[in-house]
Amino acid sequence: MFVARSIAADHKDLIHDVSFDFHGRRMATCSSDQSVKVWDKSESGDWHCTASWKTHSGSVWRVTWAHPEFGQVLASCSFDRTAAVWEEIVGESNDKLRGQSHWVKRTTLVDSRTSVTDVKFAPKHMGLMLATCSADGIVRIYEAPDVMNLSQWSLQHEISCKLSCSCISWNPSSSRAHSPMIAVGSDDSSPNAMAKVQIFEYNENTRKYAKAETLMTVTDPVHDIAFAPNLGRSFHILAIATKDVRIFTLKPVRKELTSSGGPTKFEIHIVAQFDNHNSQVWRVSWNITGTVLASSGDDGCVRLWKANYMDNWKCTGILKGNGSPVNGSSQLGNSNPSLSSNIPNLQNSLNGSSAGRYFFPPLDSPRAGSRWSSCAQLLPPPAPLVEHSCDADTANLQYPHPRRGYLSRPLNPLPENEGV
Amino acid sequence: MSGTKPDILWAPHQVDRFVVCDSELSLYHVESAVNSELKAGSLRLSEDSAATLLSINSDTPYMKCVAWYLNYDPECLLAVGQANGRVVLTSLGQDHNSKFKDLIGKEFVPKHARQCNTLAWNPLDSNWLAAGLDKHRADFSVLIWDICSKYTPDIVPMEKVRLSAGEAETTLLVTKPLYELGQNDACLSLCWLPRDQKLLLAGMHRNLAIFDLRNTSQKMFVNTKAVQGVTVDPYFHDRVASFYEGMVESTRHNWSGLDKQTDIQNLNEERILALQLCGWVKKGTDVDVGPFLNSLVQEGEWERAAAVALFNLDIRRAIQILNEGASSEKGDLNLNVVAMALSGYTDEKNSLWREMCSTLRLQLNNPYLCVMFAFLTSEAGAYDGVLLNKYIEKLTNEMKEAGNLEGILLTGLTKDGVDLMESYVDRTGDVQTASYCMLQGSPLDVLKDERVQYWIENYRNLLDAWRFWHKRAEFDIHRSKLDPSSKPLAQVFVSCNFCGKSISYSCSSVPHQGRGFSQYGVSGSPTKSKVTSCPGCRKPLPRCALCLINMGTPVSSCPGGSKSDEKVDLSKDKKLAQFNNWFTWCHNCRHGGHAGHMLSWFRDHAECPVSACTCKCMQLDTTGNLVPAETVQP
Repeated sequence: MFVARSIAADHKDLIHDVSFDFHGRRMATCSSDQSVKVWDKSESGDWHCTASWKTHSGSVWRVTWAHPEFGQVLASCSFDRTAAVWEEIVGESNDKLRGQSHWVKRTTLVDSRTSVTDVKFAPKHMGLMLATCSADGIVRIYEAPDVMNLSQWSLQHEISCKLSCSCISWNPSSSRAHSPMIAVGSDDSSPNAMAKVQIFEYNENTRKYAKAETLMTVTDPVHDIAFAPNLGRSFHILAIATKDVRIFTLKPVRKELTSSGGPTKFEIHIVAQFDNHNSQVWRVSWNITGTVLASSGDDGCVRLWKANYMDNWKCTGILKGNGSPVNGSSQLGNSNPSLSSNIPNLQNSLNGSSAGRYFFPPLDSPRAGSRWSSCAQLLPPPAPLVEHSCDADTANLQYPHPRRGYLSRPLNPLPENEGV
Repeated sequence: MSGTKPDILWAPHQVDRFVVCDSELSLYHVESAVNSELKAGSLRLSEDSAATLLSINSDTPYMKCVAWYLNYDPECLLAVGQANGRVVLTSLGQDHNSKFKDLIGKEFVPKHARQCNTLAWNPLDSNWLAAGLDKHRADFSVLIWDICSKYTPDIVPMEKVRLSAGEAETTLLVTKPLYELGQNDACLSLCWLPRDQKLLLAGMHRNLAIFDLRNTSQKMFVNTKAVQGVTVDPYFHDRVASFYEGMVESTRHNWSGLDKQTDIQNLNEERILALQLCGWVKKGTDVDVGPFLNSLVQEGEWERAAAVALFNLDIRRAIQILNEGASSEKGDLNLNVVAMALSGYTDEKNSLWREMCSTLRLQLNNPYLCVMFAFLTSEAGAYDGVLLNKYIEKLTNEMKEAGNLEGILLTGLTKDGVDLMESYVDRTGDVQTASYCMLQGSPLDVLKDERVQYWIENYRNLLDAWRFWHKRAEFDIHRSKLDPSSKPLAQVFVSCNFCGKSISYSCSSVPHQGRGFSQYGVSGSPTKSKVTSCPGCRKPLPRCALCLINMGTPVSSCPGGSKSDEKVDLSKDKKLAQFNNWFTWCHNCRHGGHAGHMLSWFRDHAECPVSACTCKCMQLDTTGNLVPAETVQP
């Protein structure tokens, strides 16, 4: 089962975001105490704070890592109307003895007139780009044309969403069949505000982002939004945290059928909607294969969701931040008895060899008026994609297929990392 | 073995037994014997082991060569080749199994008497024994005997048999070999090719020959003196070692002459594989569908069973199965009607039966029944109609839709296969299977498909994120073998400080032979430069910051392939493996040295070893300090 380990983060105020780096060996946290902390995982699996510094002059809402090929780079955004880019530098500080690393601010992005609510680096195949969104409803896309020079960022696009924005997510697909795409969620709670999720797509001809879709069914305030890692799929999966958890699929209608030049048309389906949190859902986060979604809510739980081969999504795990077990499969919201037997397996495969793979920040009881009371982040599980060859059950669980039994072996030629 | 030089043979299946052959055969058993006392007839082998004599066989005089039967049963059967060319089967075992009793004492007699030089049992067909004989005019010198063959007293003139052997044994003579090879030649050594029952390697007089029993008129040979003994590399069947008078020679054979035959063999193997995949036959090469039919019948798949029986040309069994199906509880009474129709089968082209069947079969719903009549009514050799194109097309589409990997059997690794895999990936996100599958067998146009490339990129990214860098590198190596276009270009060149050319030997052309000057006075051949000098201008390479010696990484692909250089190259290969000697340098401060020296320096230091350089070379790259996942896992 899961083991919850708490880390004394020593932030002086509420933690708003936690973010793992590409390899899952580093972690960054940000807080209303205006600081960001960086944590490194030691060989023994413990997390050590290797940097802590004041980043903004207001609550820091979000912190996020760039792909390591651009260096050790963080971006943060804050209530102080700015976003900032930070780089770790080596050898220029005298803090070596304390095992502390040194982070310097490379740029401050000051274009917003209101609180910057989210910041995200674009997928690495697009180069070094990042997007911010702000409470005044504008999404800004910046680019560092010279990836070696992190202090020069140019504002490439400004997209007006007309609604106060709370969260953004880049579509991670690097397929040439998919244009760059960004989804924006809004937590606007004014009564006349309508659909809260908009999707913008880059148009090669006009060289601009244009609205491709609006998810009309999502009308409640949206707190978080996340595209699933694409992993070769021909379509996109989008998770939304609102008053419940929702999962949408966006299937591009084949290009040759649509008029060329215009925005891609999508077949949009809602494939799952869960109100098991019985409260506001604050964060959604995907595992690295885009097969398991974690959500956190005001009920103080992180819930894991997974689809079977028939694309039926089910709850496959409930985690309490304080480590106490959540009783009963009845709470799993699982009507399918055959699946419930798989749950321990799944959890093992997610859990991997070490209990320290998940980090759940200490959960205070939700405060009135707090924007985020809890967050969840799914780390890339080091367990291989196709579960270990030594465990046929797990492999079947991952890719359950009624008729696969004897064909599955030869297709798994890669020696998996032994012994997990 | 001519009395003076005894020979020793280890038992093929019992590690502790061996036979010593000189004038007689003595079977020994190895035992641990710590006590100093030895039983009579025992041999001391070492301090704590001795060989006990189990039995002696002196039935076969004039022994020239012996070969131990390769099967487990009977385990002590030996073939003895004699000075008169006869091969006698004899046994050392105490357990005379009745089943094999007839074999003992059986003799195989060549037409003309001459010395038998060598014997070899076939590793695949245990009853085949090859004997190599001396030359006798135009007679054959390689005879292949089937030890179970019927005795041939009727062919051999009776009086001759009587002359050559005692009356009681006349029935144990075999004079007709299975194959006769090597006319007008002498055979000194023999070896069967391990995986091919019909290929025999023979050391003949002055050449090594390969006989192909499927086509005995053909033989391939290489001229060599090393024919006294020959054996095949068990791991690499094209490599053969042979010897003469203390010299060993290794030969690589080109099989081109045999390609055609092997193709047929392969086709057959593929067919068997296909049958296995369909479940028609179990593992192995015998194509017996009997058990499969029975299991189908038991599961109530009457139509399928009948079709399989029919394809194996057993129409009676097919009808019987259909009747069984009709009479069973779950079965369909209509099967009786089908059986009736089947029984009316006629070979005549214009018969009414034919006409009716070919029209009515289209109305049959069950694909197996449909295909049975298509099979019976089609022209011999023309099976297009039998292949059920429509059904297969429908099935293929279903499989594609469902992303069912078994459907790859239908689509193959084609565009259709990619479509199928796309719907599999859509369902599972399993890019690993997709990458390997598409990489493995698919022709280049499938590999070039954008989707395939996209899966591969995703898979590689995933491995990178998990820090499975070694696996990713292995995957890349594997991939570049199948798709050479994916090979990355060289990333870094090190160029000489003086002439600016790459110092890599493989990149440089032949060293300057004309300019004989060698400033740094390297003794020895002027055409060869030291590894610590630039191959272009022969000036010394930079010094290691720690040991202050000029660096130089030996490269095995050094130009100049004269014979005298070969030995030097061997030692270089060894050096190449030593990573410690490699060039390494910091990208930031450009100081560097031998990789080993640098690593050991930075174990204890943070700053560069060059005086007054404060560069923290090892800490510059955070990713570089990450440990690959492979090494952290227990």
